[in-house]
Amino acid sequence: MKGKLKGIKLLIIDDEAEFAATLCRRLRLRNIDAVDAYSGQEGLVRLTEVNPNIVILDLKMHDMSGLDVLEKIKASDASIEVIMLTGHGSIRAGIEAGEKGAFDYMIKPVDLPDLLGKINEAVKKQAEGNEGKT
Amino acid sequence: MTAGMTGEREQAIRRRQMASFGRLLADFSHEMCNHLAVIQEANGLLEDILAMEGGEGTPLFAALGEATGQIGQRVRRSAEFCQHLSGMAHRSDTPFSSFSVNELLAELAVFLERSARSRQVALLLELGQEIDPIYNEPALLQHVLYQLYAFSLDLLSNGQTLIISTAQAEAGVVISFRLVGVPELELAGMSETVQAAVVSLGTKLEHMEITGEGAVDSSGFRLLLPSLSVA
Repeated sequence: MKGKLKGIKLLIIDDEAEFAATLCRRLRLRNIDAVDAYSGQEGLVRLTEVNPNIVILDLKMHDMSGLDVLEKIKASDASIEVIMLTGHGSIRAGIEAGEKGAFDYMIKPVDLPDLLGKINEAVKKQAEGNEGKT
Repeated sequence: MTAGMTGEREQAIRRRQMASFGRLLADFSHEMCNHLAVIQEANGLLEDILAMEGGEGTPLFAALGEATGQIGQRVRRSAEFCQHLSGMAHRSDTPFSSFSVNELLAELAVFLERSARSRQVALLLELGQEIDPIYNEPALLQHVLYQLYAFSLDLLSNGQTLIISTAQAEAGVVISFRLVGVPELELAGMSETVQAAVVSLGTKLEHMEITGEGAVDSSGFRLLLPSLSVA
């Protein structure tokens, strides 16, 4: 798993700063080039700086809805795969996110092995998409 | 104002109260899940650091490993609770909706088990297979089921069992309460407000005829929860 994820760039956008920072640190320990942002607006700025393959995006943030951020990410680069993080009660919104192009959604708190598995699937899908273009 | 209008106004107020309460509970559980996510990640980071530092076999490593394991286990359990709480809370998002009675019961049972355990009463759920979703008032059903559970629990004592079961019927879902160890019960003892709530669901309570093993020592009641037509 580590080998497959090495070389990808990942952006975590979550206004729960402690969560985003610690998750980012744990992913870096696994050789994943992860960067964090603590609001929707900051996330969109970081998006252009980092140019990530994968984004992990919280659905409910204080400044912007995760769905709005998702739309902007997809508008800037449709090949970026977005994994949404939702509360249990926001499953409907998670499904809506899927309709708007999110790769998948996961319910918080998330087990790291499950998240790594989902990131791996997203990377695979992205690679298949890139192969189709060439 | 006519009595009918007063009744409708009261029902509207009650629905709004339930919706407000549900909203508050949903926000609370969402907030708790956020805190749990932070604790889980911090605990995971500790585990990562421990694994990197090595020291397997030392008493300190063992003690820290045990502590992080306990934190992880409790966080997972708490997250499950919060998710059930959130599910329960969102039942009042819309007064009428299509839902699974089995899911609603399983959600509720997580919170009922504790009070049953404290009375040393066993609570068993026997949920029927392939039960169709029904269209009714899920938040009102939660309230009614809780009251029926509380009524049953008051009749049960140490070592006895309450079995709540579901079964598909033509017009809806049958929900049965079987009290093992209670040979007779009187439904008239139930409060008028609960009985009125049962009627609001479009049903009524009836005594259940119990046959088979242990029937002599058991009694029970049931209701047929109808699937209402979509307005």
